[in-house]
Amino acid sequence: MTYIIHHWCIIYVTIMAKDLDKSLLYKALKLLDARMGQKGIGPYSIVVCGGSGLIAMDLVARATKDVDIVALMDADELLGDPDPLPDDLLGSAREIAPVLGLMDDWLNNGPSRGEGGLYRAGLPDGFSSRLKKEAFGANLTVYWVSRRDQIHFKLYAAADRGGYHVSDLKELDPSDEEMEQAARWAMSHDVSEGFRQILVSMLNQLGYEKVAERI
Amino acid sequence: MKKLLKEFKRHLLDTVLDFLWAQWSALGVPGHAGSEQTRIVDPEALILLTCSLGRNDARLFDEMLDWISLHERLVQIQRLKNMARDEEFNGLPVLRAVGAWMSHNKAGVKWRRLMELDAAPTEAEALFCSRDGKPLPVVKEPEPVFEKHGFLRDKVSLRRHAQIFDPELPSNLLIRLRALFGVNSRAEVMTYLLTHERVGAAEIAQATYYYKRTVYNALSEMRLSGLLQLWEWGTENLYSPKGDMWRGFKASEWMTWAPLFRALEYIWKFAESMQGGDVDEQLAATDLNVLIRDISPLLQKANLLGHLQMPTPGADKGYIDRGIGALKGILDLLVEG
Repeated sequence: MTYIIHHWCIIYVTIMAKDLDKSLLYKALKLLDARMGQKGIGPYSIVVCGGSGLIAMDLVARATKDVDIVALMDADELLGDPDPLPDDLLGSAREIAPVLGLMDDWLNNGPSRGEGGLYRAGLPDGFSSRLKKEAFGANLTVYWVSRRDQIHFKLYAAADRGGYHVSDLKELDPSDEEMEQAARWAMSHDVSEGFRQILVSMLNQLGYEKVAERI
Repeated sequence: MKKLLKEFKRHLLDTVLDFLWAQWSALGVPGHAGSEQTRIVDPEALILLTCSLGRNDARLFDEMLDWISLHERLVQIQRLKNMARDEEFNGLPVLRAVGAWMSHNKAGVKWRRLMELDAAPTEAEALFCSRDGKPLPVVKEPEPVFEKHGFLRDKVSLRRHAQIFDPELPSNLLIRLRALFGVNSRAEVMTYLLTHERVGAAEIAQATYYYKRTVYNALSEMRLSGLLQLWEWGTENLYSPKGDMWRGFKASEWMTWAPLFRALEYIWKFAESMQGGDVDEQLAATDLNVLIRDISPLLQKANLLGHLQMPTPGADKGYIDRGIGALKGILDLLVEG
Protein backbone atom coordinates (compact mmCIF):
# COMPACT_ATOMS: atom_id res chain seq x y z
CA MET A 1 0.00 0.00 0.00
CA THR A 2 1.22 3.46 -0.74
CA TYR A 3 -0.42 6.80 -1.14
CA ILE A 4 -0.60 9.46 -3.76
CA ILE A 5 -1.56 12.98 -3.04
CA HIS A 6 -4.23 14.48 -5.18
CA HIS A 7 -5.37 18.08 -4.97
CA TRP A 8 -7.51 18.04 -1.86
CA CYS A 9 -7.22 14.58 -0.45
CA ILE A 10 -4.93 11.65 0.12
CA ILE A 11 -5.81 8.71 -2.07
CA TYR A 12 -4.64 5.34 -0.84
CA VAL A 13 -3.81 3.04 -3.68
CA THR A 14 -2.29 -0.36 -4.04
CA ILE A 15 0.64 -0.38 -6.41
CA MET A 16 2.56 -3.38 -7.62
CA ALA A 17 5.44 -3.99 -5.28
CA LYS A 18 8.81 -4.94 -6.71
CA ASP A 19 10.08 -8.49 -6.37
CA LEU A 20 13.18 -9.02 -4.27
CA ASP A 21 16.02 -10.54 -6.26
CA LYS A 22 19.36 -11.01 -4.53
CA SER A 23 20.57 -7.53 -5.34
CA LEU A 24 17.43 -5.79 -4.08
CA LEU A 25 17.26 -8.08 -1.04
CA TYR A 26 20.75 -7.08 0.05
CA LYS A 27 20.07 -3.43 -0.73
CA ALA A 28 16.95 -3.54 1.45
CA LEU A 29 18.68 -5.21 4.37
CA LYS A 30 21.62 -2.78 4.21
CA LEU A 31 19.25 0.19 4.09
CA LEU A 32 17.26 -1.26 6.98
CA ASP A 33 20.47 -1.52 9.00
CA ALA A 34 21.37 2.08 8.18
CA ARG A 35 17.87 3.29 9.04
CA MET A 36 18.03 1.49 12.38
CA GLY A 37 21.41 3.06 13.07
CA GLN A 38 20.06 6.49 12.19
CA LYS A 39 17.17 6.05 14.63
CA GLY A 40 19.19 4.34 17.37
CA ILE A 41 17.27 1.07 17.02
CA GLY A 42 18.61 -2.39 17.74
CA PRO A 43 20.83 -4.22 17.28
CA TYR A 44 18.56 -7.04 16.17
CA SER A 45 19.35 -10.46 14.80
CA ILE A 46 16.75 -12.23 12.71
CA VAL A 47 16.56 -15.79 11.44
CA VAL A 48 15.25 -15.88 7.89
CA CYS A 49 13.73 -18.76 5.95
CA GLY A 50 11.51 -18.84 2.87
CA GLY A 51 12.25 -17.46 -0.55
CA SER A 52 14.63 -14.74 0.54
CA GLY A 53 16.66 -17.30 2.49
CA LEU A 54 16.84 -19.54 -0.58
CA ILE A 55 17.92 -16.60 -2.75
CA ALA A 56 20.56 -15.40 -0.28
CA MET A 57 22.07 -18.88 -0.01
CA ASP A 58 21.96 -19.29 -3.82
CA LEU A 59 19.76 -22.37 -3.41
CA VAL A 60 17.11 -21.36 -5.93
CA ALA A 61 17.06 -18.86 -8.76
CA ARG A 62 13.87 -16.89 -8.28
CA ALA A 63 12.61 -13.66 -6.75
CA THR A 64 10.32 -13.20 -3.77
CA LYS A 65 8.03 -10.57 -2.31
CA ASP A 66 9.09 -10.68 1.32
CA VAL A 67 11.58 -11.67 3.99
CA ASP A 68 10.17 -14.37 6.30
CA ILE A 69 11.44 -14.28 9.85
CA VAL A 70 11.17 -17.63 11.56
CA ALA A 71 12.90 -16.63 14.82
CA LEU A 72 14.88 -13.93 16.54
CA MET A 73 18.38 -14.47 17.88
CA ASP A 74 19.61 -12.83 21.07
CA ALA A 75 23.11 -11.64 21.94
CA ASP A 76 23.91 -15.06 23.47
CA GLU A 77 22.91 -16.71 20.21
CA LEU A 78 19.78 -18.18 21.71
CA LEU A 79 16.68 -18.38 19.55
CA GLY A 80 13.62 -16.34 20.53
CA ASP A 81 9.95 -16.10 19.55
CA PRO A 82 9.45 -13.65 16.67
CA ASP A 83 5.75 -13.10 17.42
CA PRO A 84 5.35 -10.21 17.86
CA LEU A 85 8.29 -8.64 16.07
CA PRO A 86 9.69 -5.51 17.73
CA ASP A 87 7.65 -2.45 16.71
CA ASP A 88 10.72 -0.33 16.03
CA LEU A 89 12.18 -2.96 13.69
CA LEU A 90 8.90 -3.23 11.79
CA GLY A 91 8.53 0.57 11.73
CA SER A 92 11.95 1.00 10.13
CA ALA A 93 11.19 -1.72 7.59
CA ARG A 94 7.92 -0.01 6.65
CA GLU A 95 9.67 3.35 6.32
CA ILE A 96 12.17 2.13 3.75
CA ALA A 97 9.59 0.10 1.80
CA PRO A 98 8.22 2.88 -0.45
CA VAL A 99 11.69 4.12 -1.29
CA LEU A 100 12.70 0.72 -2.64
CA GLY A 101 9.25 -0.07 -4.04
CA LEU A 102 8.65 -2.99 -1.67
CA MET A 103 5.46 -4.18 0.01
CA ASP A 104 4.80 -2.44 3.33
CA ASP A 105 5.11 -5.77 5.15
CA TRP A 106 8.09 -7.02 3.19
CA LEU A 107 9.68 -7.97 6.52
CA ASN A 108 7.34 -10.23 8.45
CA ASN A 109 7.05 -13.18 10.79
CA GLY A 110 4.54 -15.05 8.62
CA PRO A 111 6.00 -18.58 9.10
CA SER A 112 6.11 -18.27 12.89
CA ARG A 113 2.94 -16.35 13.53
CA GLY A 114 0.73 -17.68 16.33
CA GLU A 115 0.56 -21.04 18.07
CA GLY A 116 0.63 -23.00 14.83
CA GLY A 117 3.71 -21.15 13.60
CA LEU A 118 7.04 -22.90 13.07
CA TYR A 119 8.81 -21.40 16.08
CA ARG A 120 6.24 -22.38 18.70
CA ALA A 121 5.48 -25.73 17.06
CA GLY A 122 9.17 -26.61 17.23
CA LEU A 123 12.15 -26.18 14.94
CA PRO A 124 14.20 -29.15 13.64
CA ASP A 125 16.88 -30.60 15.94
CA GLY A 126 20.24 -28.85 15.56
CA PHE A 127 18.56 -25.98 13.71
CA SER A 128 20.59 -23.15 15.22
CA SER A 129 23.93 -24.91 14.69
CA ARG A 130 23.30 -24.98 10.93
CA LEU A 131 22.46 -21.28 10.49
CA LYS A 132 24.69 -19.04 8.39
CA LYS A 133 25.38 -15.67 10.00
CA GLU A 134 25.67 -12.48 7.94
CA ALA A 135 25.97 -8.99 9.41
CA PHE A 136 24.49 -6.15 7.38
CA GLY A 137 26.04 -3.51 9.60
CA ALA A 138 26.19 -2.75 13.31
CA ASN A 139 22.43 -2.98 13.82
CA LEU A 140 21.11 -5.86 11.78
CA THR A 141 22.39 -9.41 11.54
CA VAL A 142 20.67 -12.07 9.52
CA TYR A 143 20.96 -15.79 10.19
CA TRP A 144 20.05 -17.63 7.01
CA VAL A 145 18.36 -20.98 7.44
CA SER A 146 20.42 -23.89 6.10
CA ARG A 147 19.50 -25.93 3.03
CA ARG A 148 18.64 -28.95 5.21
CA ASP A 149 16.19 -26.92 7.33
CA GLN A 150 14.70 -25.23 4.28
CA ILE A 151 13.91 -28.74 3.01
CA HIS A 152 12.06 -29.39 6.28
CA PHE A 153 10.02 -26.20 5.96
CA LYS A 154 9.40 -26.57 2.25
CA LEU A 155 8.20 -30.16 2.56
CA TYR A 156 5.80 -29.19 5.33
CA ALA A 157 4.54 -26.20 3.33
CA ALA A 158 4.31 -28.19 0.08
CA ALA A 159 2.18 -30.89 1.76
CA ASP A 160 0.03 -28.21 3.34
CA ARG A 161 -0.31 -25.70 0.51
CA GLY A 162 1.46 -27.04 -2.61
CA GLY A 163 2.15 -24.42 -5.26
CA TYR A 164 5.56 -22.79 -5.47
CA HIS A 165 6.69 -24.67 -2.35
CA VAL A 166 6.72 -27.86 -4.45
CA SER A 167 8.84 -26.15 -7.10
CA ASP A 168 11.25 -24.90 -4.45
CA LEU A 169 11.47 -28.37 -2.94
CA LYS A 170 12.30 -29.90 -6.32
CA GLU A 171 14.98 -27.30 -6.91
CA LEU A 172 16.52 -28.07 -3.51
CA ASP A 173 16.85 -31.67 -4.77
CA PRO A 174 16.93 -33.43 -1.36
CA SER A 175 18.55 -36.83 -0.88
CA ASP A 176 16.39 -39.71 0.41
CA GLU A 177 17.89 -39.30 3.87
CA GLU A 178 17.16 -35.54 3.92
CA MET A 179 13.62 -36.08 2.68
CA GLU A 180 12.90 -38.78 5.27
CA GLN A 181 14.18 -36.63 8.10
CA ALA A 182 12.06 -33.71 6.84
CA ALA A 183 9.00 -35.93 6.50
CA ARG A 184 9.35 -37.27 10.05
CA TRP A 185 9.73 -33.71 11.38
CA ALA A 186 6.65 -32.60 9.42
CA MET A 187 4.62 -35.49 10.83
CA SER A 188 5.60 -34.45 14.35
CA HIS A 189 3.85 -31.13 13.65
CA ASP A 190 0.73 -32.67 12.22
CA VAL A 191 0.16 -36.10 13.67
CA SER A 192 -3.09 -36.78 11.80
CA GLU A 193 -3.41 -39.79 9.53
CA GLY A 194 -4.77 -37.51 6.83
CA PHE A 195 -1.59 -35.50 6.74
CA ARG A 196 0.54 -38.64 6.61
CA GLN A 197 -1.41 -39.83 3.60
CA ILE A 198 -0.98 -36.50 1.82
CA LEU A 199 2.73 -36.67 2.55
CA VAL A 200 3.02 -40.24 1.26
CA SER A 201 1.18 -39.31 -1.90
CA MET A 202 3.36 -36.29 -2.49
CA LEU A 203 6.58 -38.19 -1.87
CA ASN A 204 5.49 -40.80 -4.41
CA GLN A 205 4.72 -38.09 -6.96
CA LEU A 206 8.11 -36.48 -6.39
CA GLY A 207 9.92 -39.81 -6.88
CA TYR A 208 10.72 -40.60 -3.25
CA GLU A 209 8.87 -43.94 -3.19
CA LYS A 210 11.28 -45.57 -0.73
CA VAL A 211 10.87 -42.71 1.72
CA ALA A 212 7.10 -42.94 1.29
CA GLU A 213 7.25 -46.62 2.17
CA ARG A 214 9.35 -45.99 5.27
CA ILE A 215 7.02 -43.41 6.78
CA MET B 1 22.86 16.58 -2.62
CA LYS B 2 24.44 17.90 0.58
CA LYS B 3 24.57 21.36 -0.95
CA LEU B 4 20.93 21.12 -2.01
CA LEU B 5 19.84 20.15 1.50
CA LYS B 6 21.98 22.84 3.11
CA GLU B 7 20.53 25.50 0.85
CA PHE B 8 17.03 24.23 1.52
CA LYS B 9 17.57 24.45 5.28
CA ARG B 10 18.75 28.04 4.97
CA HIS B 11 15.84 28.91 2.66
CA LEU B 12 13.39 27.29 5.07
CA LEU B 13 14.66 29.16 8.10
CA ASP B 14 14.87 32.51 6.28
CA THR B 15 11.36 32.09 4.91
CA VAL B 16 9.83 31.03 8.24
CA LEU B 17 11.54 33.79 10.22
CA ASP B 18 10.53 36.44 7.67
CA PHE B 19 7.00 35.12 7.84
CA LEU B 20 6.98 35.20 11.66
CA TRP B 21 8.24 38.77 11.65
CA ALA B 22 5.58 39.77 9.14
CA GLN B 23 2.78 38.16 11.16
CA TRP B 24 3.91 39.66 14.46
CA SER B 25 4.33 42.97 12.68
CA ALA B 26 0.70 42.80 11.51
CA LEU B 27 -0.31 42.34 15.13
CA GLY B 28 1.63 45.38 16.30
CA VAL B 29 5.28 44.40 16.68
CA PRO B 30 7.43 47.19 15.21
CA GLY B 31 10.63 46.89 13.26
CA HIS B 32 9.63 44.84 10.23
CA ALA B 33 8.38 46.40 7.06
CA GLY B 34 6.71 43.25 5.79
CA SER B 35 4.10 42.95 3.12
CA GLU B 36 0.45 43.05 4.17
CA GLN B 37 -0.83 39.67 5.31
CA THR B 38 -3.37 38.18 2.97
CA ARG B 39 -4.64 35.71 5.57
CA ILE B 40 -6.05 36.20 9.05
CA VAL B 41 -3.41 36.03 11.77
CA ASP B 42 -3.98 33.50 14.53
CA PRO B 43 -2.18 34.66 17.71
CA GLU B 44 -2.15 31.25 19.43
CA ALA B 45 -0.78 29.40 16.41
CA LEU B 46 1.79 32.15 16.00
CA ILE B 47 2.94 31.83 19.61
CA LEU B 48 3.37 28.08 19.15
CA LEU B 49 5.55 28.39 16.04
CA THR B 50 7.57 31.17 17.67
CA CYS B 51 8.21 28.85 20.63
CA SER B 52 9.90 26.37 18.30
CA LEU B 53 11.36 27.81 15.10
CA GLY B 54 11.37 31.30 16.60
CA ARG B 55 14.19 30.16 18.86
CA ASN B 56 16.50 30.79 15.92
CA ASP B 57 15.94 34.53 16.31
CA ALA B 58 16.27 35.79 19.90
CA ARG B 59 15.06 39.27 19.02
CA LEU B 60 11.90 37.92 17.42
CA PHE B 61 11.22 35.74 20.46
CA ASP B 62 11.53 38.69 22.82
CA GLU B 63 9.27 40.77 20.58
CA MET B 64 6.70 38.02 21.08
CA LEU B 65 7.11 38.34 24.87
CA ASP B 66 6.76 42.11 24.51
CA TRP B 67 3.58 41.71 22.47
CA ILE B 68 1.93 39.15 24.72
CA SER B 69 2.80 41.29 27.75
CA LEU B 70 0.81 44.12 26.17
CA HIS B 71 -2.01 41.96 24.79
CA GLU B 72 -2.02 39.25 27.42
CA ARG B 73 -5.74 39.63 28.11
CA LEU B 74 -6.47 38.90 24.46
CA VAL B 75 -4.60 35.62 24.36
CA GLN B 76 -6.86 32.57 24.69
CA ILE B 77 -4.93 30.20 26.96
CA GLN B 78 -7.33 27.25 26.72
CA ARG B 79 -7.22 27.43 22.93
CA LEU B 80 -3.44 27.64 23.07
CA LYS B 81 -3.35 24.49 25.16
CA ASN B 82 -5.83 22.67 22.91
CA MET B 83 -3.84 23.56 19.84
CA ALA B 84 -0.51 22.64 21.41
CA ARG B 85 -1.78 19.28 22.56
CA ASP B 86 -3.89 18.37 19.51
CA GLU B 87 -1.07 19.01 17.06
CA GLU B 88 1.75 17.94 19.43
CA PHE B 89 3.84 21.03 18.80
CA ASN B 90 7.56 20.74 19.50
CA GLY B 91 7.66 23.97 21.47
CA LEU B 92 5.62 22.78 24.45
CA PRO B 93 8.51 22.96 26.96
CA VAL B 94 9.26 26.50 25.78
CA LEU B 95 5.58 27.43 25.95
CA ARG B 96 5.52 26.13 29.51
CA ALA B 97 8.47 28.40 30.36
CA VAL B 98 6.70 31.35 28.70
CA GLY B 99 3.63 30.60 30.82
CA ALA B 100 5.77 30.56 33.96
CA TRP B 101 7.49 33.78 32.97
CA MET B 102 4.19 35.52 32.18
CA SER B 103 2.56 34.42 35.42
CA HIS B 104 5.70 35.45 37.34
CA ASN B 105 5.86 38.89 35.80
CA LYS B 106 2.28 39.76 35.12
CA ALA B 107 0.61 38.06 38.07
CA GLY B 108 -1.79 36.60 35.52
CA VAL B 109 -3.26 33.41 36.90
CA LYS B 110 -4.37 32.25 33.49
CA TRP B 111 -0.79 31.92 32.24
CA ARG B 112 -0.03 29.47 35.02
CA ARG B 113 -2.33 27.05 33.22
CA LEU B 114 0.36 26.60 30.60
CA MET B 115 2.53 25.07 33.30
CA GLU B 116 0.07 22.17 33.40
CA LEU B 117 1.43 21.11 30.02
CA ASP B 118 3.31 17.87 30.39
CA ALA B 119 6.44 18.98 28.65
CA ALA B 120 9.31 19.56 31.04
CA PRO B 121 12.72 19.19 29.37
CA THR B 122 15.16 16.83 31.05
CA GLU B 123 18.38 18.83 30.74
CA ALA B 124 19.00 22.56 30.62
CA GLU B 125 19.70 23.79 27.11
CA ALA B 126 20.25 27.12 25.41
CA LEU B 127 16.93 28.70 24.50
CA PHE B 128 18.29 30.41 21.41
CA CYS B 129 20.36 29.34 18.43
CA SER B 130 22.04 31.43 15.81
CA ARG B 131 20.82 31.01 12.25
CA ASP B 132 23.63 28.55 11.62
CA GLY B 133 22.38 26.37 14.47
CA LYS B 134 24.92 27.22 17.17
CA PRO B 135 23.49 27.56 20.71
CA LEU B 136 23.69 31.12 22.04
CA PRO B 137 25.35 31.26 25.47
CA VAL B 138 24.20 33.40 28.39
CA VAL B 139 26.34 36.54 28.21
CA LYS B 140 25.31 38.38 31.38
CA GLU B 141 22.82 37.16 33.92
CA PRO B 142 20.60 34.13 33.23
CA GLU B 143 16.84 34.53 33.33
CA PRO B 144 15.85 32.58 36.45
CA VAL B 145 12.30 31.62 35.40
CA PHE B 146 13.41 30.20 32.06
CA GLU B 147 16.37 28.52 33.73
CA LYS B 148 14.05 26.85 36.21
CA HIS B 149 12.17 25.40 33.27
CA GLY B 150 15.28 24.14 31.52
CA PHE B 151 16.18 26.98 29.18
CA LEU B 152 19.27 29.13 29.44
CA ARG B 153 19.04 32.70 28.21
CA ASP B 154 19.94 36.19 29.34
CA LYS B 155 17.54 37.97 31.65
CA VAL B 156 14.50 39.17 29.73
CA SER B 157 14.59 42.91 29.13
CA LEU B 158 11.52 43.96 27.20
CA ARG B 159 11.74 46.98 24.95
CA ARG B 160 8.07 47.72 25.58
CA HIS B 161 7.56 49.16 22.17
CA ALA B 162 4.89 46.79 20.88
CA GLN B 163 1.83 48.67 19.64
CA ILE B 164 -1.80 47.79 20.16
CA PHE B 165 -2.87 45.87 17.06
CA ASP B 166 -4.43 47.83 14.21
CA PRO B 167 -8.15 46.84 14.18
CA GLU B 168 -8.59 48.04 10.60
CA LEU B 169 -6.19 45.52 9.13
CA PRO B 170 -8.24 42.70 7.52
CA SER B 171 -5.65 40.19 8.75
CA ASN B 172 -6.42 41.24 12.34
CA LEU B 173 -10.08 40.32 12.21
CA LEU B 174 -9.80 37.51 14.74
CA ILE B 175 -8.14 39.56 17.44
CA ARG B 176 -10.39 42.50 16.62
CA LEU B 177 -13.47 40.37 17.25
CA ARG B 178 -11.85 39.01 20.38
CA ALA B 179 -11.55 42.59 21.60
CA LEU B 180 -15.23 43.04 20.78
CA PHE B 181 -16.73 39.76 22.04
CA GLY B 182 -14.22 38.92 24.77
CA VAL B 183 -11.82 36.00 24.94
CA ASN B 184 -14.18 33.14 24.15
CA SER B 185 -15.14 31.03 21.20
CA ARG B 186 -17.40 33.67 19.62
CA ALA B 187 -14.53 35.62 18.08
CA GLU B 188 -13.28 32.54 16.22
CA VAL B 189 -16.81 31.45 15.35
CA MET B 190 -17.68 34.84 13.88
CA THR B 191 -14.36 35.13 12.05
CA TYR B 192 -14.98 31.74 10.47
CA LEU B 193 -18.54 32.69 9.51
CA LEU B 194 -17.36 35.93 7.94
CA THR B 195 -14.79 34.13 5.80
CA HIS B 196 -16.91 31.20 4.61
CA GLU B 197 -20.25 30.43 3.06
CA ARG B 198 -22.78 28.57 5.24
CA VAL B 199 -20.95 26.44 7.78
CA GLY B 200 -21.84 24.09 10.63
CA ALA B 201 -20.57 23.65 14.17
CA ALA B 202 -18.40 20.62 13.42
CA GLU B 203 -16.41 22.36 10.70
CA ILE B 204 -15.91 25.48 12.79
CA ALA B 205 -14.87 23.47 15.83
CA GLN B 206 -12.24 21.57 13.87
CA ALA B 207 -10.77 24.71 12.33
CA THR B 208 -10.80 26.78 15.52
CA TYR B 209 -9.67 24.19 18.12
CA TYR B 210 -12.76 24.47 20.29
CA TYR B 211 -14.95 21.59 21.34
CA LYS B 212 -17.89 21.00 19.05
CA ARG B 213 -20.30 21.43 21.95
CA THR B 214 -18.77 24.85 22.76
CA VAL B 215 -19.20 26.01 19.16
CA TYR B 216 -22.68 24.54 18.91
CA ASN B 217 -23.78 26.39 22.05
CA ALA B 218 -22.16 29.63 20.90
CA LEU B 219 -23.93 29.44 17.51
CA SER B 220 -27.28 28.67 19.11
CA GLU B 221 -26.99 31.67 21.40
CA MET B 222 -25.56 34.00 18.77
CA ARG B 223 -28.48 33.19 16.51
CA LEU B 224 -30.84 34.68 19.10
CA SER B 225 -29.30 38.05 18.24
CA GLY B 226 -31.01 37.91 14.86
CA LEU B 227 -27.63 38.50 13.22
CA LEU B 228 -27.09 34.94 12.02
CA GLN B 229 -29.01 33.12 9.34
CA LEU B 230 -29.77 29.44 9.92
CA TRP B 231 -29.88 26.95 7.05
CA GLU B 232 -31.02 23.39 7.51
CA TRP B 233 -28.95 20.96 5.51
CA GLY B 234 -30.09 17.39 6.14
CA THR B 235 -29.59 16.80 9.83
CA GLU B 236 -27.05 19.60 10.16
CA ASN B 237 -27.64 23.26 10.89
CA LEU B 238 -25.54 25.64 8.83
CA TYR B 239 -25.02 29.30 9.64
CA SER B 240 -24.05 32.49 7.87
CA PRO B 241 -23.90 36.15 8.89
CA LYS B 242 -27.15 38.07 8.38
CA GLY B 243 -27.68 41.78 7.90
CA ASP B 244 -25.58 44.72 6.80
CA MET B 245 -23.65 45.37 9.99
CA TRP B 246 -21.11 42.63 9.24
CA ARG B 247 -20.05 44.35 6.02
CA GLY B 248 -18.04 46.76 8.13
CA PHE B 249 -15.71 43.93 9.19
CA LYS B 250 -13.08 43.58 6.53
CA ALA B 251 -11.64 40.11 6.47
CA SER B 252 -8.60 38.53 4.89
CA GLU B 253 -8.76 34.88 3.89
CA TRP B 254 -9.15 32.28 6.64
CA MET B 255 -6.30 29.89 7.15
CA THR B 256 -6.12 27.08 9.69
CA TRP B 257 -2.53 27.85 10.55
CA ALA B 258 -1.82 25.39 13.35
CA PRO B 259 -1.50 22.22 11.22
CA LEU B 260 0.60 24.09 8.66
CA PHE B 261 2.89 25.35 11.44
CA ARG B 262 3.21 21.83 12.81
CA ALA B 263 4.09 20.65 9.32
CA LEU B 264 6.81 23.32 9.22
CA GLU B 265 8.24 21.90 12.44
CA TYR B 266 8.42 18.47 10.81
CA ILE B 267 10.10 19.94 7.74
CA TRP B 268 12.60 21.78 9.93
CA LYS B 269 13.42 18.60 11.81
CA PHE B 270 14.02 16.85 8.48
CA ALA B 271 16.26 19.68 7.27
CA GLU B 272 18.26 19.61 10.50
CA SER B 273 18.72 15.84 10.41
CA MET B 274 20.25 16.10 6.94
CA GLN B 275 23.09 18.35 8.05
CA GLY B 276 25.53 15.99 9.79
CA GLY B 277 28.41 14.41 7.86
CA ASP B 278 27.85 12.60 4.60
CA VAL B 279 24.20 12.21 3.73
CA ASP B 280 23.27 8.79 2.42
CA GLU B 281 21.00 9.19 -0.60
CA GLN B 282 18.70 6.27 0.25
CA LEU B 283 18.38 7.31 3.87
CA ALA B 284 17.61 10.87 2.80
CA ALA B 285 14.95 9.50 0.45
CA THR B 286 13.52 7.43 3.31
CA ASP B 287 13.46 10.47 5.59
CA LEU B 288 11.82 12.53 2.89
CA ASN B 289 9.16 9.90 2.33
CA VAL B 290 8.47 9.60 6.06
CA LEU B 291 8.25 13.40 6.22
CA ILE B 292 5.67 13.45 3.44
CA ARG B 293 3.71 10.74 5.23
CA ASP B 294 3.75 12.79 8.45
CA ILE B 295 2.86 16.16 6.98
CA SER B 296 0.22 15.07 4.47
CA PRO B 297 -2.61 14.76 7.04
CA LEU B 298 -1.60 18.13 8.50
CA LEU B 299 -1.72 19.81 5.12
CA GLN B 300 -5.03 18.14 4.45
CA LYS B 301 -6.33 19.58 7.72
CA ALA B 302 -5.14 23.02 6.61
CA ASN B 303 -6.76 22.51 3.18
CA LEU B 304 -3.36 22.82 1.56
CA LEU B 305 -2.72 19.39 0.18
CA GLY B 306 -2.89 20.76 -3.33
CA HIS B 307 0.33 22.65 -2.61
CA LEU B 308 2.25 19.45 -2.06
CA GLN B 309 2.87 17.90 -5.45
CA MET B 310 4.97 14.96 -4.36
CA PRO B 311 6.64 12.62 -6.80
CA THR B 312 6.41 8.85 -6.47
CA PRO B 313 8.90 7.65 -3.84
CA GLY B 314 12.21 6.33 -5.10
CA ALA B 315 15.81 5.92 -4.06
CA ASP B 316 17.28 8.17 -6.72
CA LYS B 317 18.61 11.69 -6.35
CA GLY B 318 15.87 12.90 -8.66
CA TYR B 319 13.30 11.96 -6.03
CA ILE B 320 15.06 14.11 -3.46
CA ASP B 321 15.34 17.01 -5.91
CA ARG B 322 11.65 16.81 -6.74
CA GLY B 323 10.71 16.35 -3.09
CA ILE B 324 12.65 19.42 -1.99
CA GLY B 325 10.98 21.33 -4.81
CA ALA B 326 7.58 20.26 -3.48
CA LEU B 327 8.48 21.39 0.04
CA LYS B 328 9.53 24.75 -1.35
CA GLY B 329 6.02 25.00 -2.80
CA ILE B 330 4.67 24.95 0.75
CA LEU B 331 7.07 27.67 1.80
CA ASP B 332 5.84 29.84 -1.05
CA LEU B 333 2.55 30.05 0.84
CA LEU B 334 4.33 31.80 3.67
CA VAL B 335 5.83 34.31 1.29
CA GLU B 336 2.29 35.13 0.14
CA GLY B 337 1.48 35.91 3.80
